[in-house]
Amino acid sequence: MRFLYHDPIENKVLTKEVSDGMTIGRKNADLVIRDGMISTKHARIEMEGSAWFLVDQASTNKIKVKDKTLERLELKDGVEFYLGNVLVKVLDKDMSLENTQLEVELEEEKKHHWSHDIEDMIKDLGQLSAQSDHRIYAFHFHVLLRVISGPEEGKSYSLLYGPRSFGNLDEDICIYDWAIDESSFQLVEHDGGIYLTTSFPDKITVNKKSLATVKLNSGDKIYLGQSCLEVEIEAYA
Amino acid sequence: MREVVKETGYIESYDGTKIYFESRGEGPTIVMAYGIGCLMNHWRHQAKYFSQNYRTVLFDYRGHHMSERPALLENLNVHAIAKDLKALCDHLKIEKASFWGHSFGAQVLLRTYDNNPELFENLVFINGFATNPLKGMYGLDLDPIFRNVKKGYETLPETISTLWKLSVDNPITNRLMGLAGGFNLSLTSFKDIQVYTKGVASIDFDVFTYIFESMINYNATAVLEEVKVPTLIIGGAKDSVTPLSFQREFHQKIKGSKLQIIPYGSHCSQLDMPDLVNLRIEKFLSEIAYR
Repeated sequence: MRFLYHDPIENKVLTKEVSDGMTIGRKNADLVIRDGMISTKHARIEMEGSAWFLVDQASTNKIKVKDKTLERLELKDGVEFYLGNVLVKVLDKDMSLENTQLEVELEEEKKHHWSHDIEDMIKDLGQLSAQSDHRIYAFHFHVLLRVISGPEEGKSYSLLYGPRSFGNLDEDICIYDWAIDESSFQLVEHDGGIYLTTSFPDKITVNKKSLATVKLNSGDKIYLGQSCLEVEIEAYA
Repeated sequence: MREVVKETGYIESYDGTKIYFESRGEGPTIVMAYGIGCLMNHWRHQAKYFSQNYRTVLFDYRGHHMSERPALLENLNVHAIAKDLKALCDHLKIEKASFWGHSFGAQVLLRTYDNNPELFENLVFINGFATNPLKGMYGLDLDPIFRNVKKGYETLPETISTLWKLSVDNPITNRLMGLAGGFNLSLTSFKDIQVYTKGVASIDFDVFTYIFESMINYNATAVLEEVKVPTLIIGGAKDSVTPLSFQREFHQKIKGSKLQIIPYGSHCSQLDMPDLVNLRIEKFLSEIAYR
């Protein structure tokens, strides 16, 4: 049995084999997770017969599962719980799975979960958004723009809703590139795709082509100022 | 978008310190308080949007940017800023308003609420904290680090001041400060981070440390339970400065409050997804008929 969790300090997904008597805490524990809401001695693994349990050690924030606060939790494959701000998933089958696959799985779950959160939130805003000059809607795709050259090289923008406008300080998302003047572009969704629209086709191009509107595909490159942004689009499962 | 009325000026606070303010638009009043070392710019999307139907008021904290530093350094603290805010309301004849606080701005508003609850019609907190945020930031206890830096300043003030200006005004530090400031680098523009670090650099080190120390010493947790006005709490799901547990505590302690978590949101959710945050706040104001 293993724990799969996102380490807040290393900012990556890690796994840890569970053992009887293993302690979990913010420091001086068998499994150290440096989250401010995890107590120094937070929880301990106890085996009873063939069953595994996570037992709270009089921690401040206990063990959380959905909205419930627990002091004891039976560990089974697929069970998810929170220690402080850290989500931990229990895995007890297919031990041959590679960590990379598990990372993808966890990332996918997060993406899926957050896309639903945004959808619900925007639905909840309903009429207000519809009447506003700033009407927004949830994207049905995970849209990622990676800056592959220019002053912000290495940075990426995860977009959850549209429309989003890119450009200088006046825009929704401002790109740090002094070569960008008043020119900007918008990303919108319609007809089952993500489209780029711009009033500045002479300054903003997609794959070096000047077009006022263009449907984007994964791998497309958007050029503006001195920057180049690579597009990644993936439909939510 | 129609033209909005704009007024800028200074008021003289209780100890004679001049405080700069900007007021835009007409209608029910919204007062916005930014984070420590920040700029009015951090509220730019909200000021632009809401000044169409409201009067939005922004101000610089004492020792920040356009406002004067007080004659006495010991008057650089959250308690003095709360008095500045009351003086500003008196000057602008604001009897009641909607108050919004980002990060340290939440502490400022809680201190003001403690003194003058009659001013508050409602409250919006964005990635705020009531007590020392250094304990828990990035899952660490950064309190001793701050204490050591301050001790260094007391021993070698000129050296530390020079290092301060040099270190916060270069591109690499901008990146690091972006992380340290809790910005989500995937969402918040680097320019916003740069604006933040420039803002910090323009504040004298002694001013920053005095206010910072007051911030970590002030505990407004008890005030949360005293809040009796409608309150919206917004938290970024990826905020590492003030993790969601801070926002959940606000929500738990402020009776009847609403909690909104912004997926992918950083410590500056209002900059990450301005339209989404604006509409969420507008919905809150509409539900409580503040219009």
